[in-house]
Amino acid sequence: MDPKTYIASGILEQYVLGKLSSEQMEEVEQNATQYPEIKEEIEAIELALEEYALLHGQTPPPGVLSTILQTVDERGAQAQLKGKSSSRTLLVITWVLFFAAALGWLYAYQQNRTWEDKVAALSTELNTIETACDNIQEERDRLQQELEFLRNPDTRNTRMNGTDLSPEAIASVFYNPASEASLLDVGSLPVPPSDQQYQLWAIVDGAPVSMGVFEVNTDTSGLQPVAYVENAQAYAVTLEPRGGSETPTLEQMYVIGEI
Amino acid sequence: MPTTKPRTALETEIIELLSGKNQRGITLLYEHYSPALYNIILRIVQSEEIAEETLQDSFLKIWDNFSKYDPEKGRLFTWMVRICRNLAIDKIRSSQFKKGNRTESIPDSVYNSDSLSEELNTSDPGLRKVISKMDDKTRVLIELLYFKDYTQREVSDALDIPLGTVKSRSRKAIQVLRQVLGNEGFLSAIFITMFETIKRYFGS
Repeated sequence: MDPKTYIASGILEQYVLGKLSSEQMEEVEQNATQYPEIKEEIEAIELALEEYALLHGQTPPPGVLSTILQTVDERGAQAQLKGKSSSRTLLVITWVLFFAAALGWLYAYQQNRTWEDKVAALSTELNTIETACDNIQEERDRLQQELEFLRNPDTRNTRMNGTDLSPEAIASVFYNPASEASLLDVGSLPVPPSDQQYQLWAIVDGAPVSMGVFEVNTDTSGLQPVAYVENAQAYAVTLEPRGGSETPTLEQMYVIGEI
Repeated sequence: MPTTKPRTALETEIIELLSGKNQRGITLLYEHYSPALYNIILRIVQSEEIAEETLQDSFLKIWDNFSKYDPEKGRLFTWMVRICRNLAIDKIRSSQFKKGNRTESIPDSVYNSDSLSEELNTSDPGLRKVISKMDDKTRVLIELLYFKDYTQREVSDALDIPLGTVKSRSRKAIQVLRQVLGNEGFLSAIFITMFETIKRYFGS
């Protein structure tokens, strides 16, 4: 491209006058960066039109400048105010969130304490129930064993009837020579004074042999294991001082039963 | 004709101020360019009221969009004229939607030279001197192309000259203008270049 021809074509005047499309404008600007004489020519045209325009100046009505400056000021102030108010909003939001979080934490804390209390209560209850369950299990096992003992075909039963001292009283001894075990059914023996205890005797060849002392109170009931004595011909219960006696106090015999 | 040297210094100062968002840049800009820009707007919108509004809008747009101005691509004034002209055209388009076509409503006032006689009767001695040296054809062509912002086709219709010759005629007209403005115009270009170089060299 010859810059002189390009300049002479009048396109630069059109460019400065703003008559070109954006593509054409770009092309001119491209050429201007490439050819200094084109750039100079553009500047000369610009300058001529500028000077001519400056000669034609007409003073605008007064107050326009102050309006412009005021608008610029107001916009700046508004932008600042916007920034301030938005930062204030942010502060408010932060506080609201903070309080919400604090409230939430407090609620969760209270809730947690309530749950902890409930868990503790339930844990105690569970413990109690477990203990009760263990006791029942023990009791059941004992009853099971007793039942097995009583149902054993080798187990015999000797009923002891009340003497004149207590005609209503009844007690029984269950004994099994095969397993050499005895059980005492305290039956309907009356509850003794606290300083005295019942003692069970076996009569072997006319002589009494102690089978041990035993308790009779409202809590104990049913069967109690007692010592096994071989070749007993009779069983009797006497009331003795606490701890038992070497020989039975015959005046205090409550029940007796022969085999 | 004011000397070109201080104007260039002023331009540089204005560009620096506006780039730094300093409002003094607006004041300086307004003091030196508002009459010329107001005139250009007024020629297009033909209403002092609308022209005033457009001038305000133009300065605000210059302020807002100053970062888009590239001094390498052209002179500040050319860039500002483009903004003013576009806003002025937007204004009359929106208001003339009701009134009708721009090309129909204007030509008489141009050709019958109300503005031309105004120019000739101007009290400004500089302008009188320049205008007296220009022929009518040149004056009218520049009037239409530059001040009225006619397209080449509109100029061709208004002056009844072939479309193909508008381009060459407008070049001729501007060359006449450059001659009339004299070597001052040419010299100013050299001055500007020198001044800018010196300023850049010493680091403003």
